[in-house]
Amino acid sequence: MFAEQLLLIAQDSVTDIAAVGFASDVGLESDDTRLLRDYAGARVSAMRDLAGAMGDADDEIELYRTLAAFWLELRFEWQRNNEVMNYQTVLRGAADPRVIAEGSVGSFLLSRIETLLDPSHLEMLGRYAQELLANERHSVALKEELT
Amino acid sequence: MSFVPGSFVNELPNVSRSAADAQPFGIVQVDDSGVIQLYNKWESEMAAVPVPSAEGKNFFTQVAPCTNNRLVFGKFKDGVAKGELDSEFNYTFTYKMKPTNVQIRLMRHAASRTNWVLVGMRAA
Repeated sequence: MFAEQLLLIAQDSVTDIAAVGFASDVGLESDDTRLLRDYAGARVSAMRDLAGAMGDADDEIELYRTLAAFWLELRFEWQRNNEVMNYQTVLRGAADPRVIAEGSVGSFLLSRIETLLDPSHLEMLGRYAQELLANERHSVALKEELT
Repeated sequence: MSFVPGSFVNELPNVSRSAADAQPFGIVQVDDSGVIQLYNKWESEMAAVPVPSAEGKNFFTQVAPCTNNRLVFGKFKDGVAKGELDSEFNYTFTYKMKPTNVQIRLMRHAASRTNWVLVGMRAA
């Protein structure tokens, strides 16, 4: 069942080990490492909540749809972290290690969820997300030109 | 000093796939809209994206979405529009990989009208 597959990838220990590794990669202090592990744990917990709430066979399509929405949510969150870390890198010379580590956790979770979603659906969702933001950028630029 | 040897920059418009694959940095040739025409071995291994999966896709929006912003794609589009581009800067990759500090060099070779995204590792 899809809910069982989701529970398999929503294991605290796997994500926690990854988070600790990312924290070490970027040299986080222990307090920030704890916050990063909490950050990762909260998102894994959200996946388990999905599986628990829509665990019946009749709800599999809804669970799939909601997991796809969660993938988009994480993708936008990763994108925000990516923008922050790279504007910091380019403009200040270095990025906040905490932001880099959160971006890495987000990317790790995206990869985990992607094992459960159809590649064609992922491509479509990614394209919509990208077009949505590109259109927004275009609209803002146009508005600035007009004012 | 750039991570790309000056002698190699001169060869870029005519670089063969085997020569590109022999380099210790990423080499991505893209058309004016960003669609990948050549994706070398180093870049493929660093990004964990197989060459056949990358070539034919848009580098900035599909293969390396972390570069889909004004810092990289915006700079690339401006350079292509002006017909000149040579910019090197630090960047951080996290998409589908562990945190990786890199240098990116965006280049346009005016005579051949070819565009290049070069990626090298940097210390944190």
